[in-house]
Amino acid sequence: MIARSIVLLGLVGLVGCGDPDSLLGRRGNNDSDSTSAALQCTAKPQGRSYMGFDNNKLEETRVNEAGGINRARIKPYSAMGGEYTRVLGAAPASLGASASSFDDPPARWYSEAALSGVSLNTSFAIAFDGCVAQTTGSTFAAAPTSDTATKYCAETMRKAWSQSGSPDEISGCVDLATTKLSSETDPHRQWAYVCASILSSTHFLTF
Amino acid sequence: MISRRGLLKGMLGAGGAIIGSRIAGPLVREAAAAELPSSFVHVFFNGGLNALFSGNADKYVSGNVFGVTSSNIKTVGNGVVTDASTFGTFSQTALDHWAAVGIKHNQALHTTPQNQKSGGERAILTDGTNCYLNQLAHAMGGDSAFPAVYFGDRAPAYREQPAFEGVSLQRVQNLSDAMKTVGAAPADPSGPNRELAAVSLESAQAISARQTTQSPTRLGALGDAYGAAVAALRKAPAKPVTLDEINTAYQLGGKSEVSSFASMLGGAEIMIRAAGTNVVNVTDFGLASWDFHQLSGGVSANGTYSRKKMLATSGGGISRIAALKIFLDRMLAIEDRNVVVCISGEMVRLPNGDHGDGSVAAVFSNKTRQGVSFGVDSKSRFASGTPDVKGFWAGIAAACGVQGSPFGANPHSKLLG
Repeated sequence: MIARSIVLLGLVGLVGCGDPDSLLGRRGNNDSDSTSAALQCTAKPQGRSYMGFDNNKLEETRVNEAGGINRARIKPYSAMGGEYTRVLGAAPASLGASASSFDDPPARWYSEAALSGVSLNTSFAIAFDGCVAQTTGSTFAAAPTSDTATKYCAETMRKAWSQSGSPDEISGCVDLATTKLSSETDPHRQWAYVCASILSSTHFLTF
Repeated sequence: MISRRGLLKGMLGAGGAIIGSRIAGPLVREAAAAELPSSFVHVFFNGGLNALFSGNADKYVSGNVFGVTSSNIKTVGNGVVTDASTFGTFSQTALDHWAAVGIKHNQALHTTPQNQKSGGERAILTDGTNCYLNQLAHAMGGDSAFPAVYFGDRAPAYREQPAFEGVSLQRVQNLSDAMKTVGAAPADPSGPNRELAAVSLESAQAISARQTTQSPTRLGALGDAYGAAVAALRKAPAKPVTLDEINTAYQLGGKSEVSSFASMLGGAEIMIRAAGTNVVNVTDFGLASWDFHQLSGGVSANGTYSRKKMLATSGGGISRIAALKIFLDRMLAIEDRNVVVCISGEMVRLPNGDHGDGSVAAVFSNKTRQGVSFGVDSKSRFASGTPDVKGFWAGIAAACGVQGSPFGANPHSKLLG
């Protein structure tokens, strides 16, 4: 029953895309003449046009693009405590007093989160704070090598991003760890920079 | 940098300021300003700014429109007349350099979240594709990591404005964060090293490429943010400015979050002095929050409500007028930079309190000449031939010393440029 409903819904939606005068243009529908070739939803339907009070067409702002594109959204400040805890085991101490850095909306209000150059730098500093606390143990007493950095980058990406890093992404992370942080003499802090870099990538900062 | 002499001059009473500005000040400053880098600060009252404040108060006396009488206005000079208790209290230095500039944008609607494709704010700030703020910042050149920034509770014209030729418009929400980012705050030895933070953020951006490619629209602004943060972290230490100084000057009560009108102006000063920012937009909080349609006895009370709001506190601390006076004095006292400050609104108000179809901007800088260029008449109508929005930006570009004519010819050349 459920499967049949899904099939029917799919047919209805696809016909709307393929036939400008079908669902959006007339009452009722008889799609018995639809063919599989017509069932390709690659562009927004040319349905009826409605003019708004501002003399702009309501449908003008309809998004028309392929599936999976432009889906990323910045995680709100309210989510970050849990996110850092999930990855680092605890929220960075500096996070709690940073609500005004990220426009945390009042209770029961919502605003789409965004990051600027200033707030992104603050986000990095918060991540670094949490990463320093995480990298104090003996595991991080030695400077990163290619092997240890590869393992750390892959594991941390998987945990922080909830998906595996690609070979290129892991390679970039290893390059940071093994060559670009050489002026930092404290291995613990070297690892903290690597950790904070992963936590400052869009894979972690967005959902 | 603000010098002690400059600050003292700005803070002196009217008598001292007159001596400073009328005898020696303007000549010295105008000569020097021609060679100086510039910054432009756009203070914007969303929903409207009555022309009685921005320089055309005399037009409303005969009909007592908006409650204007001959006794509650101040004659500034060269045709500029304003409300006595608010803009009329600006320092003599500011009054001497007040250019009232008309903008005929032909939009009598508000730009709002539901009306992002028209309205006065959109008309003033964008050409429909690009934002004039970062277009101007690009034309002004320089090497600031933050060439264009904005303060307020939402993006100008209610949408993230696209970068123009690599110049993005970045938001500042916290003064302390801004100072740390531009290197104006004392270094925290336990925090990240600036160069290593830059390297790490570059790496973060690089490993984000897979996702930023998939979400170019959603994450475009974040890409600009990476670039701005990395550039700022690599800049030489900023010129000295401290949070304490800003806190004291603007009476912020120790708050670093941008939550009051005064804090936005304090933030503008930080970005100009510490980051060498070209263009700053300061939009007052709220949705069309200067849209006063109230009537009293059948006549518009827009002047009364506007005056009350200007003299009231905003987010705690001092009033908008008090903050503007402090800001203008400090900006006009900066000796190594030509700061152009524009106070304008979405539209003028008609005598019945409704929306006009343009705006009158009050522009101040040490190079600006006092006078009116295309103001309104007693009905708040603009004369035919009043320049459009590009004319306004052409005038501002000229006032900022921009070479060439990125916005076309300057129709306000008698006052600006």
